[in-house]
Amino acid sequence: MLVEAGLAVQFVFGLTILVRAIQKGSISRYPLFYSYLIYYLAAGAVDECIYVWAPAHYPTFFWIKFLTLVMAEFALLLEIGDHLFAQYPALRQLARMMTVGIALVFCLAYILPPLLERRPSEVAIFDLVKRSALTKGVIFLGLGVTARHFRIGVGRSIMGIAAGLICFLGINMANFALAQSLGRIQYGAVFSAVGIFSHTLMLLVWAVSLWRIDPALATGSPNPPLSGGPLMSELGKYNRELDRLLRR
Amino acid sequence: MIAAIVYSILGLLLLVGVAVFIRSSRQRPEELEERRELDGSVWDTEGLSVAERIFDPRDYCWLRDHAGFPRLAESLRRSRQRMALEWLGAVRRSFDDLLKASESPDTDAAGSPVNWNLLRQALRFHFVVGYAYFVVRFFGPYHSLVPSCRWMRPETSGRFGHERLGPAHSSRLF
Repeated sequence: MLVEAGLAVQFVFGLTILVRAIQKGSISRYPLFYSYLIYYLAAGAVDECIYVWAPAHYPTFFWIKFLTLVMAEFALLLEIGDHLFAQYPALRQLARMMTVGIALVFCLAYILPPLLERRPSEVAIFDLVKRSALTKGVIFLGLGVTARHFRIGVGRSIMGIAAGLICFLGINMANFALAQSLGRIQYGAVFSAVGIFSHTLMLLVWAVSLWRIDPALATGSPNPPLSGGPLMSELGKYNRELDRLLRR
Repeated sequence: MIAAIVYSILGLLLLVGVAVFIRSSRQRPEELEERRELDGSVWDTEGLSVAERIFDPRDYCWLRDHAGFPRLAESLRRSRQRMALEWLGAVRRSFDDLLKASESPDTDAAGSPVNWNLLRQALRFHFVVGYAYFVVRFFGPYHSLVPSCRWMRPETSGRFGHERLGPAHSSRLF
């Protein structure tokens, strides 16, 4: 009953976000985010139909949907980084590289190694979810620290998208870790309830923050370009001068 | 069970991170214009010559060893330390301003993709400035920053004795 009610609330929130986006014409501003949301709602609906009419196929479909969403969240973080630094092209590029760099390093050193071990698939999936959630958290913290370091104002909409996603990831990571540790018998019911809660909270945060969409900012730097040559030669000059001064 | 506790704490930290992010993003950036104007001149000829004087220990050594004013020399060292920290802060802000104000090209001068190079240059710069800040803050402005030579050994302990200081330095100070 709780699960059904939670799913119904999620659908209401999700559809509200989509209807508002269509009304405001803002779908093209956050294409990856709305693709993620549409996939989430559509796959959720199909998921429920399979659960009712073909329950034998439900677990397979559920995990395919779930793992696709886990991967899509990396793309969502790229979009969040792009919007955080939309007005600063060099910083935007830096944020993209930072996102890709952290994701690659964590994938190779942290996410993939346990997946290559011979273990039951359930344990592997739990590990994948936990570790990828932590990786996304680190990426988000990197983006947040960079935005703060450069004193960049963050719009309400993109802040809401990021906050909703990270709230979900944080709760989900703890939930999967506890489920893996305590087992299905002890934690099964709580696992399901917390899972529904984390998704509902994410959609609620998104619905509230996207009720009013921030006005679109012009891309490109709002500051006049500094004197000097192209960016890379200027950065190189900074590094060379610093080395020369400090390496005495 | 330990892993579950660790991941739960990390999940909680993520939520705290979100709260901090929301709180900090509500504060509108207040630029310190006066400070920014100073930052702009860090890399011009005058700014570089000031930086060279800040990190140059010869005045300090002359005052301490040649003129025989060790307490005055110590006061000069502390003052230079503050200036060095200010200068490093200004250098970092100047670098950040450059990144904020720049349009990002697709390729650099050599025609290679600029993405990773940009990340490398930015990380390298912040690493060097952070390291220099640490050394100046804890060991003073006259320590060598390169570990391979004279690391953790005061350059002032006899290396800049009377024989290394020419008369030009005394006239420069007074």
